[in-house]
Amino acid sequence: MTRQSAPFGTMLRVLMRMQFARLRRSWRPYIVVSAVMPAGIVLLIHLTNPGMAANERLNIISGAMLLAESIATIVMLSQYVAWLKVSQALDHYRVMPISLEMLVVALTTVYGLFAWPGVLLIALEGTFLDHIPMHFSPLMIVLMLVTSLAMGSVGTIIGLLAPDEGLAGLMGNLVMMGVLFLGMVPVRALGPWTIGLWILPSTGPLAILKGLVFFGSFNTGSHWLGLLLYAISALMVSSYLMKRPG
Amino acid sequence: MSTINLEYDHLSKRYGDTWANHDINLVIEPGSIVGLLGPNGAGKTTLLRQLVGLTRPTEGQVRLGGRTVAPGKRWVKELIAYLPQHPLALGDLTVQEAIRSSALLRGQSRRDADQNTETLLTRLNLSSLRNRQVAGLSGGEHRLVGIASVLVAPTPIVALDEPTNELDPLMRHRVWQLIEKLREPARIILLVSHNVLEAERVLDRVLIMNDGRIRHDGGPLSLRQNVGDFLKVSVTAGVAPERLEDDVQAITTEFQRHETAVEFTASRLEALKLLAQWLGEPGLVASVSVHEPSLEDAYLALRQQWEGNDNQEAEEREV
Repeated sequence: MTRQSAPFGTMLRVLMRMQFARLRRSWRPYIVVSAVMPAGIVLLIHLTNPGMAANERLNIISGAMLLAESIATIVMLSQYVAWLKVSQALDHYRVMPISLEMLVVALTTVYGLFAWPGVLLIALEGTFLDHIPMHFSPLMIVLMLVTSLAMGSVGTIIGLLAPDEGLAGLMGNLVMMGVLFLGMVPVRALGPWTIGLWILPSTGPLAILKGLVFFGSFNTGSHWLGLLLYAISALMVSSYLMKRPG
Repeated sequence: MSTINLEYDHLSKRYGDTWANHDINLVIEPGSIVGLLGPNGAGKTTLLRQLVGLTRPTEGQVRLGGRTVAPGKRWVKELIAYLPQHPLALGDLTVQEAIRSSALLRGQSRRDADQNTETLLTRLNLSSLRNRQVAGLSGGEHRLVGIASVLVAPTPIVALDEPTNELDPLMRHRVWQLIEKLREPARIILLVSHNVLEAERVLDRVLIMNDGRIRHDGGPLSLRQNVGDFLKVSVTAGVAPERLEDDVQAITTEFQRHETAVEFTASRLEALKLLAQWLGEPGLVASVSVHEPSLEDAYLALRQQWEGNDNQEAEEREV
């Protein structure tokens, strides 16, 4: 039998380019919304709590960075995937000879990138408003990509399960708040529930982000492992749901 | 391209209490263009979706080259190019990018993808739109991009659901030409169309569906024969069109009169007898044109037969 499909490299490149094309049409809402809300929260807290301790400032800054990422990858991606499903445009991907896992990777990577301007803006706020010394490490890029995959896969799952775009947005917002809230609550406040935090895609990135950005250190190996496992598991679930026939 | 048979084996799909299709048994040999015709809701689209693995059968199976089609399997997707009724996920791309991306994802080299994209842009009159975003196109233009994206890398099986929907007559003509050019000894083309008249020129085999079942399976000629041997006649009267109308009324109820012209459909024998009689009377007829019934005529006649049978059954039940 004759088989017709692209090699993996070409497939990933074409799928990435197809998703990047969304930027041409929709960059304003994606970038502005994912940047304005978290950056606004940082500014508001800076203005209302001038005497905040340095450690608390670090929590706020890292939480806001992750909020930017989760708005793009959980809320916005879930809405887009729900639209793909409801309009049946998703069928196009489902009948093409492509790896749907690779499609999820392309979607989550591109939606994750929409949050980068917001992350940069928050970093600038931290540096100039809160006077927090920040370090840049190339591992930041890896962290953002893996976080995008973990959170974006959750967004994809929500989009595939939601009956329509509006409900996907609602569910996405609820999940995003749950993920961030529980991921940011100090471990000591949770007691025996701490173990449960490993199932959240925000727990690992928050711990790693604080280490990398604020202390320039890389001593959070268990968090990397947890995040990677989370990302891979969520990817598997989302691509399984995508393959399901009617 | 090696040859692959397509088999539907006791295939059924049920949604709640309703059968979308029921006990479909078919074998389609390579080298044929097969048309699926039938009213809305007859189960045609479900049959295509079962083929590409988008809809899981309730019972039975679809086999390609002896292998059972399972949803999501890569080998199925490599063998079948499918054009659904609804728009593809290409809205964010430009026209050229959309067609080229499809070619690349189907494993074509960059050079072939560029060349084939260019050919289709020209053939489907899309060259001037190449840099326009697909989402901003009209319905018909959007449909053409979808067709080009499927036809840019034709597979051993091509399944097209209403390929000429929303297209203007010229573009419909070009699309049928493209479909005809796809004909190859090793390829199966399966298409759903409501445009029976236009589909006729490319079809080797016609499957007519109603209520989830195949009601007719055969060549276009056999379909015509199935519903009776009749002719369509159009006559312009030289004098006395009323006389022609009276004569026609005596042999058929299917006729129309427009001023001096009379059009009617009647059995071949009756129609020819009447024409011979008229032509024997000088001046009675100014012009005559006689047509073999088209596939559409045969299809409509078949539908009238079903509806008649259904009504009769309903009346019998009431009694």
